[in-house]
Amino acid sequence: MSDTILEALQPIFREVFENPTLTVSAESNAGSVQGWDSLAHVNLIMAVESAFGVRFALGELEELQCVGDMVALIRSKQSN
Amino acid sequence: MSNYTLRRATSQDAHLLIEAILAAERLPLADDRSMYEALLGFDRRECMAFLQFALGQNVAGHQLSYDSFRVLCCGGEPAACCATWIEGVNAAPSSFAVAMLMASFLGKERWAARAPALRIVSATVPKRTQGYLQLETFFVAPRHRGQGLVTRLINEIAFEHSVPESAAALTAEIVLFRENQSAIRAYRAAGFLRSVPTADASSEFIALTGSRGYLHIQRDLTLPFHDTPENAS
Repeated sequence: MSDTILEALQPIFREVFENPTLTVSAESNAGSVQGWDSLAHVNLIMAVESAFGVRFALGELEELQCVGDMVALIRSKQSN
Repeated sequence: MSNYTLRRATSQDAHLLIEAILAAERLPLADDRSMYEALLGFDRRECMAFLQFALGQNVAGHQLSYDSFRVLCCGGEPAACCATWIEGVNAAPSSFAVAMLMASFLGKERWAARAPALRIVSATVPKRTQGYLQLETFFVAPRHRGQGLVTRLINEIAFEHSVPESAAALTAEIVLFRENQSAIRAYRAAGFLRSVPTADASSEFIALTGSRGYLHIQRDLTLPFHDTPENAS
């Protein structure tokens, strides 16, 4: 399930960061992905919400530190 | 000697905190606008609505949260305040949280429309250091000025962080506009003597804000702080 979510995130990251060869792992974070600044972060969150049909609370986003955290949050939203 | 006590801010302090934020973010422009108004295209009324919205979310770890603000009271009356948090420990960078607050308030279309201005500012704002204690939005009520309350606030917060069990940060840092000379003098007097190199502002940033950029200054929290000179802020 998590692997499926991570797989579905790949094209979203490539589009938001305008990098067709970008591949993120669960450990990827703002420090390791070039261009992941505050503006890209907002665009990424909006794109993820749209693609997965979920809405994140601001408090939930505060705790995201890496792509794996995002995968876990999406999974928890989908299971609710 | 007046009896001052430090406490966390609550929603009861909203008026003081919004006044503090608008003062701290005031741009060196003729029309008295704040950074949020220039950046997001707000008038003053909408800017205050945004700040109320942001504070009301009370998401920790950035400068627009009740949780981050400390209020220094004199005889129970708020005399001064500032925001403080530790940057990005077990959390996203504060700039991410603030950007999400802006986007949530603006909505997708207005956020996209402000993207050019947001990019200009984002390229100039210094990156805060992960794990460092952040201090921001110092404000002293007019009738309490000239009593060294900025230094007192810094020392009280530094003391909190010097207790070994809570020593989450060993360095404090402040980011502010280069033009804010009176505040710079106060922070230098309070021990913020180390400057982190910052980028010169682009012509677009200067046109948008009237500022030539930011100053990024730091202070070692392990240094003695009881003997720092009082200042006249």
